[in-house]
Amino acid sequence: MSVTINIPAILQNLTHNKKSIKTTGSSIAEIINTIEAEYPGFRDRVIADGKVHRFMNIYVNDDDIRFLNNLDTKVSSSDSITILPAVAGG
Amino acid sequence: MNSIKKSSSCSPLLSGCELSIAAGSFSPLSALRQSLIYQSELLGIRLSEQPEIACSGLQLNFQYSNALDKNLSTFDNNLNTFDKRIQKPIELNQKEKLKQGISQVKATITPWQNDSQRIADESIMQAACGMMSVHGRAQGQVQALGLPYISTLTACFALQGLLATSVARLRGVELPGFNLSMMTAGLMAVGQYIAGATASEDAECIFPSHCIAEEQPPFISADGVIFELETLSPGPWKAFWQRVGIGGVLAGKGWKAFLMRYAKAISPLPREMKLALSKLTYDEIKRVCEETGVAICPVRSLQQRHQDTDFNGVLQQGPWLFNETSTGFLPASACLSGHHLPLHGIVVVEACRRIQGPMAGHLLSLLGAKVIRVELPGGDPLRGMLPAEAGVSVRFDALNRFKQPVEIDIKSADGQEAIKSLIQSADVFLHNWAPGKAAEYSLDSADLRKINPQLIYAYAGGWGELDTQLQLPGTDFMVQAYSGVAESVGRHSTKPGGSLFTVLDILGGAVSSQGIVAALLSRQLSGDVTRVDTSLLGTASLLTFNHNQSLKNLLTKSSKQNESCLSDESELFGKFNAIYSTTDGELVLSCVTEKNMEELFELTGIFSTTDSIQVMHCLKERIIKKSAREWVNIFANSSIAVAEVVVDLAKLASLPESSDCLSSHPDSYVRVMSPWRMRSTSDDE
Repeated sequence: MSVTINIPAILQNLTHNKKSIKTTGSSIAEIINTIEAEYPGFRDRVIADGKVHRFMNIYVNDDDIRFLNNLDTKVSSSDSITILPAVAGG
Repeated sequence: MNSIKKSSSCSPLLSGCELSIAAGSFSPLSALRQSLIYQSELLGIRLSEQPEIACSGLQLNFQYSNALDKNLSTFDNNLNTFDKRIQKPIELNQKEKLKQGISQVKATITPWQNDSQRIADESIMQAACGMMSVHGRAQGQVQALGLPYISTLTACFALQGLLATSVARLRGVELPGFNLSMMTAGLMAVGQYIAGATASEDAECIFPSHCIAEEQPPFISADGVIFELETLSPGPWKAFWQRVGIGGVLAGKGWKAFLMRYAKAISPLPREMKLALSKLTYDEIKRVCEETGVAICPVRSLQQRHQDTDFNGVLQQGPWLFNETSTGFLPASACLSGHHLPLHGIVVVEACRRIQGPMAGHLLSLLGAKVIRVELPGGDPLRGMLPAEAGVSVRFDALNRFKQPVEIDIKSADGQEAIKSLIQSADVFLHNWAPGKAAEYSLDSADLRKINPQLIYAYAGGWGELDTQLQLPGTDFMVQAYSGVAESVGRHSTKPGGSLFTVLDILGGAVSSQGIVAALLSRQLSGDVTRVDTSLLGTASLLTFNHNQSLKNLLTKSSKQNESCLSDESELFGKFNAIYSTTDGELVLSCVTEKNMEELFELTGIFSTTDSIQVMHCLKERIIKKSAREWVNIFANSSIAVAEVVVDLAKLASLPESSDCLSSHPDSYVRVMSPWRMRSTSDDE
């Protein structure tokens, strides 16, 4: 299944400056593995110790996947997937 | 090397320095003047007041000659004096040169950048720089902050500029002084929000009237306790809300809103969340917090803060903790003539994230320092925070654009060596790591002094001396709640609790860089190097200085006298000070003295009366009949302070009051220029 994922500026150096990528996968974990195969180094910037990296957020539509099924969260072709850096603290 | 540890409490850092203040004859800047005096006294600077002058601001003269004379005579008696960095004795002609240089620095402080005669007070400046709009986002309407915020920040910048210019003089740069306005200080405070509102793509349009106050933190328990929650990780947040009956999807939406506080000054939480907590007592909520790892802090009053055992010490010490070590030598003059920024040639290594530490580094870079910024491998994640231009977050760029980034993994042994290598040729090391981390990385002040004995070591933290005691994350909103700032802000706002504008992070950054510049001057004057610890909690005490003084008086007066004390405090913002509706927006008006009343009645066509309520009613009726700009023009040459309330931050670059302080280019966000306008030798007024 084809889905589109929005890439934050900070990771665009890994995706040949592409702001969004069309890729395949039925869960977030699958999608990230597919992207990793094409753009090596991507996964380590988004995932750490098998979880979403603490400095990153992944949203399916408006929902943070940490509050859904984490990396096992299912996606469909109509979903909007966005990676954004986390902002917290002063 | 002879090292003598000195205690900051017995020997204020800048004793021997002097500051004279001449206030404008029609200057309403009492909060600014008082904060300037308070900050100077804490640093050991001797004060004198000069006769009034004909302008709307303050004129300052700062002298360090007595401090220098005292130290040079000490060094004259020490034949072993040498500059370790250049490995040669300080030459006699250098000492003479230090003595001969003009040791007086001049500064003029005005409310407005481009009109030295126009008057203003705190609320007028908060309206004109967009601060009322930013603070108002979480209030659902434009709102004054209720604290002398811009006055305190301007005083901090003024003193910092004087000290930095003195450092320049002692290093061979002949800078006579600078001009500074409250307007640029105010704009600097909201610079990140201006960047977000003016980005060339995806600019944020957040207006107070579009926001709903009831959706924003703080929270209120069933037994009426107002409190803040804090966690920097989504795991505890999810577990906490699950325990109070809020499911994952809703908690996730709340998390997204919760994270928004730091960047956008809003946090529209799903209504169910605040409702769920309103059904539990504070103790019940506290128990859930303890079990899930979420921090909780009640919104305490200033009176409660006063009863804390550490408070008197903080008040006497000020927002900085200086620990001096004598090195036994004076730094050499750097022969920097020809440069126009006071800290040119000073190297700062900054290892900070988020807002407070980067703000400190930004201010030092605006003063001319070279700031090397240590970032995580791959770069600081905040670089990617939207909106962005050329791949970099504009909000991030607003605080870091003049720095040189270097990617280092500080947790690795190689990374720690890389930092030590940078330190060898640095003047300042600044970090804001969590308590205990510097020692864990072997990068504490004692470790780095072994590498560079002249290093100024600075830490910009959350709780200061309470860091290990409180066990709470030292973030802006927690410190606002604990310190009494939130309660104080809430008393002047539409809802209880503090501001979602990062009040303490911004001022805390200014306090940190001010402490660093004071330490640089002390090093230049005496050869002493200083560790500078600052905190958000110490910053809160500085910000509430006026209230603290009033409260101090309360403790020694009868209850009747107490009432008059509090009413004095409420006059901080001038008579008839309010936000008035006009035909096209809002206007803030402030009648500073009784003498201004007749002028106010004349210009608005109101019949003279002593009934304040009636006057306010009539003013509202009159002011709504013209546009804000028309009223600004009508009051232009009067003694009434007035300003249009800037709601849309994108408008600031085109308004006559603020455009001179902003740098605006097509296809780029609007940047706030340096608050210090250095004077050249031929242009000293």
